[in-house]
Amino acid sequence: MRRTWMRGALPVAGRILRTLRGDRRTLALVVVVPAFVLYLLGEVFVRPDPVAHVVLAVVVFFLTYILTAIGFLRERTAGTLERVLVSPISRAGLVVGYLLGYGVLAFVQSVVLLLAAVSFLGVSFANGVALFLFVEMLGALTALGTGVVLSLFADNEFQAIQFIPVVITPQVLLGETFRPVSELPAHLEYPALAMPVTHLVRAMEFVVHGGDAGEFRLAVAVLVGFALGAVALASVVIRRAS
Amino acid sequence: MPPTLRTTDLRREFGSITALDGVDLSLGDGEILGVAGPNGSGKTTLIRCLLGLLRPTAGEATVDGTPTEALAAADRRHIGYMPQARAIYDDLTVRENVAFFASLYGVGDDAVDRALSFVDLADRASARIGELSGGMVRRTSLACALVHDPEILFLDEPTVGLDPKLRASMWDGFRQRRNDGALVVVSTHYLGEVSRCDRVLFLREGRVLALDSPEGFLDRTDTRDLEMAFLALLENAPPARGESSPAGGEESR
Ligand SMILES: Nc1ncnc2c1ncn2[C@@H]1O[C@H](COP(=O)(O)OP(=O)(O)OP(=O)(O)O)[C@@H](O)[C@H]1O
Ligand SMILES: [Mg+2]
Repeated sequence: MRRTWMRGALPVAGRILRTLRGDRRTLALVVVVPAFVLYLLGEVFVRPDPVAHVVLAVVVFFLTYILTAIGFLRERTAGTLERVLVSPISRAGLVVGYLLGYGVLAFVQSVVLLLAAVSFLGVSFANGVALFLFVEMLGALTALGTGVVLSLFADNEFQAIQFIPVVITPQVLLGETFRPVSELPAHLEYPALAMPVTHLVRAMEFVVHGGDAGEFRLAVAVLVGFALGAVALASVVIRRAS
Repeated sequence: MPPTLRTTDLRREFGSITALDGVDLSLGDGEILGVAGPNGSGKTTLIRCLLGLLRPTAGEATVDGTPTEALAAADRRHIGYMPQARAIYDDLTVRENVAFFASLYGVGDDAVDRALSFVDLADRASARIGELSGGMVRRTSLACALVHDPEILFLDEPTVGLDPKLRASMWDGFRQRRNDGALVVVSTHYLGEVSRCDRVLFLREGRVLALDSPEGFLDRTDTRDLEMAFLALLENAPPARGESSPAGGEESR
């Protein structure tokens, strides 16, 4: 077999995307919801610019978390994961399959967001559209690994949803959204720095509004670390998941 | 070389529950092993240990001499598994489900067609799983398990919910595979089916109560059908671990 370490990646990615065709609601969640959220934002804020980068950062992260956490949970509880694991797939193949499948979805979401941001919010990307897509994909990878890992601690879909207020909301509240992290009380500053969303929002601020390139590079480096760490952790736990 | 399966003093515990309690088993040369026993007696746990999905607490399970937790991709290519749970993708069609597993095993469209006609679903191939009857769902799952013509086939209650005619034709198919040299391990609660196996492993509370041919069971219990034979065995067996009936039967994931 060629490229044995990736064996099974393409079938798994194809299956993830094909599953969506039969699942219209999720498809709507991917394509319609990001645009709708930005539309509402444009209607609510007279001057949406200051919050635009936060919303752009959080939406893809949040949706990718939901999609992967629920998707992987279903795979586990339906018994299909067990079946996939006894096939000749390699562990890397399974992980890369997930990355490809949900990565394509995250990319589609990012493009929808991009178009919506330009048309509803009048955002002009100070540092270019390519950088925007790059940062979105880094955030999505981190969310993807987080979703797979957290879904191991859930027995059903409702429990996976329960992680949202516990794990996701604090990140959004603390992560440079309402107040710069440096102004937070010390006991919250360090947790905030340990959360991926903080760095995602920082990186996105540079992409949208411009600013200090050094800080941007630091934020991207930290995000790359989070993304690699989350994906590595996911691939370690994936085999034990059944 | 025909495939072989072996367990030596296989034990598996879940916390305080002992699901398998010293199982010794040796299979080879193309045969159908029936696995029978009450709910919670360890049938599914045995199959999952043989597949390498569960690590034994003690003892060993091997396929062709390799411990099952260490099976390489090349070994797994020859193994098929139909879990007791539903284990197919509800948002895909029948054909997409079977084709997905076919692609994991690197077999093509003609294998998918063959599997679909084996379970008699060729005319429903483009139906989504959500539109199918319960028996058709099971048949799709079965097709996914044997699309790659495995040499070792593990079937965990494959014929639950199938009508008698289909069940009979499935069994003809299993025996056909056996005649071609495959090893088939089938757990079942239909004792009528057990008589179609070459040997039957009867489990209770994780222990082997008996391992014999169907005729052997009738002889040793002096009964006329297997249902009565098993009831007789259960009654005459010494009580295991205090005679409280286990709360088991809950399917594991
Ligand atoms: N993942 C698990 N966690 C905890 N206990 C488990 C797990 N899997 C199985 N058990 C326990 O092990 C015992 C054997 O279960 P098993 O599923 O092997 O039974 P079975 O013979 O397949 O039953 P059934 O006929 O209901 O399918 C039961 O007591 C069950 O509760
Ligand atoms: Mg069972």
